[in-house]
Amino acid sequence: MTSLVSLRDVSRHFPLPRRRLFTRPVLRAVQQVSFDVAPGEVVGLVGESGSGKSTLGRVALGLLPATEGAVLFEGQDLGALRPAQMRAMRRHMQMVFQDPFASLNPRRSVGGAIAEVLALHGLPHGEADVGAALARVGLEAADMKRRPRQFSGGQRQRIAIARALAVRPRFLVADEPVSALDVSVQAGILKLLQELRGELGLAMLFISHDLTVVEAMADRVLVLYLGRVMEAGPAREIFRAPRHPYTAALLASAPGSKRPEMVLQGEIPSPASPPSGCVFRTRCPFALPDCAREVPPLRSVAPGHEKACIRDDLAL
Amino acid sequence: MNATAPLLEVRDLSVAFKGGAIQAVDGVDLAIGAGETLAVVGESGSGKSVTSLAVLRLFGRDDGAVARGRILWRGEDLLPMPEATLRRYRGREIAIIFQDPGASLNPVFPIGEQIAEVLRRHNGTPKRAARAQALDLLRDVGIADPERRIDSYPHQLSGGMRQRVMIAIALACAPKLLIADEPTTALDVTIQAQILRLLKALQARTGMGLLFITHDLELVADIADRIAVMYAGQVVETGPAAEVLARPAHPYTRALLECRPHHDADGVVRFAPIPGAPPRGIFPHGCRFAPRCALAEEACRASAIPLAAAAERHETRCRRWEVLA
Repeated sequence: MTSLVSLRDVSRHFPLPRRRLFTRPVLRAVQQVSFDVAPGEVVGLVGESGSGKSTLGRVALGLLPATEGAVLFEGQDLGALRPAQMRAMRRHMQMVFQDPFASLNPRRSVGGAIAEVLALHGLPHGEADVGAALARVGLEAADMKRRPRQFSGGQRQRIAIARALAVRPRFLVADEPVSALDVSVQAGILKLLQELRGELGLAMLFISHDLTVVEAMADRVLVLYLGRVMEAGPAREIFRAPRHPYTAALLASAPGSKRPEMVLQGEIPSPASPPSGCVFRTRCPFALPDCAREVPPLRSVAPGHEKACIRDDLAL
Repeated sequence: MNATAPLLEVRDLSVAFKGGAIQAVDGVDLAIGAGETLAVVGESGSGKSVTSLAVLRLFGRDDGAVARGRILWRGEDLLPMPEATLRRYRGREIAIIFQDPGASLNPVFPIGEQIAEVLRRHNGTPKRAARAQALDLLRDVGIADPERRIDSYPHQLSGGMRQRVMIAIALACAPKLLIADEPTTALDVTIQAQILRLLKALQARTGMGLLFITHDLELVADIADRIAVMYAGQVVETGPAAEVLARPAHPYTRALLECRPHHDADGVVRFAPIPGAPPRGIFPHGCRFAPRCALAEEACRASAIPLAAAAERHETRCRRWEVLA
């Protein structure tokens, strides 16, 4: 399988204010994450707030440089690109954010916002081109003269998608694209993303806290906790037969879950001082003394399915 | 008052804003008994939150809210009560928690003091006893290390812990009814599961009624005894939660369930958006869902549709519900 996007042992740290003279604390938002996205593939990213989902999404696009490791797009290391090369690369990699109210300039007409992106990448940006971009997301050419505030939340998210896809990217990071919307509006946006994916052969990193939505959208799923991958594998397997206790706990916590009850105690620790060994052990109902010793490596449990847990004796 | 009478009975409640220009709630009937959980479900603008705010008359001065109907609290109508009288019920008999606990807590006081203040004000508890009781309450709502946390400020706590503090404040006076307006919407699923479990445990212990406002139908399945689905200011379907979710008798309820990703007969994942958008403020004649309903026919638009029985204790505001079955 040739990959479109490839992350190799990627870490992203953020420096924190110095508290003592000789130590500089860091927040380890993402720790040694590796994964690939094939052309046209949708990879789902799940985990609680503070697990590093959004940071990882930005690193995968080169919006945030990796502190360690490399991000490759079609084999090219984003970290080695000069700024002009990076700008050219952006045409192939776009992003849709959670809040369509914040991601659109209120003073700019919708058509203007889309024409700007097209022009920036040296693409034709006449009314016909902008109209086509809007038509792709179910809006009308007449809408291009209107400003974002004249649209509902769902329509604004369509505009944000139209703008991201206007330049025909091959990779899209969608960070909680439907979380701010009503259920009936969510369904429309998800359906649209699924159709566009088929139409444009778009690969996606789909970030969401809503497990039902990820199950429906993703081919493969990465489960993050405190910046580390706990489990990665085909969506079907992850949701039907999770192999990591954290995945099992997340699934059991989802509203309406039919899985055996498994309420996690406490909250996710601070990424500024993660536990030693397995980062999940402080909340894991199955933790052993050995779990504190070293970080469990990801190991294969089935073809294309890995977990970072030393226990194989659990019935989850 | 007999034991089976509901704690709270809302009858034909209507709420309008801006001098009647915007109708938010229109003819809502609800009843909730001791120890019972009623979930009011709907999308933004359905009137679910306005209904809950109307119970305790928690509207801003500038909202220009006008409420009509009856809000019977153990047989007594709260609606015509003067503000000073109503204040005796707020917090003490009926408490409310909201989605954003950060906005409900005072940022400049430690949480322990905020709980103690409620006890002092409502019950006249002396200062030292109030602090001891606040500590017990923090322990009850599952705050780890309460001796240390009692002196924390809201910003030092996570969202989940702040919501626990809000629940502690709400429970301080042992209310008979707790209104929870999207209390877990801003929280992670793992924390949501903890909070729901906590609410259920507290309810089992105290026998309080729980009026749970939410947009999440899947969550309703986990917590509610009964459900009332709201659309455009009206209750469109109400009944036992399990039955309404398994056999919805209103096209809107059915459509809401189908909005969530689901597998069709061929195992293909489907999303079924509801066409159009809900009306806001000014409602169509006849069935308000008709413009978006696949089953609508001419007669649906002709005149207002009353709630009618679809099964025992299960009512729907649809002329054609039998077609759904």
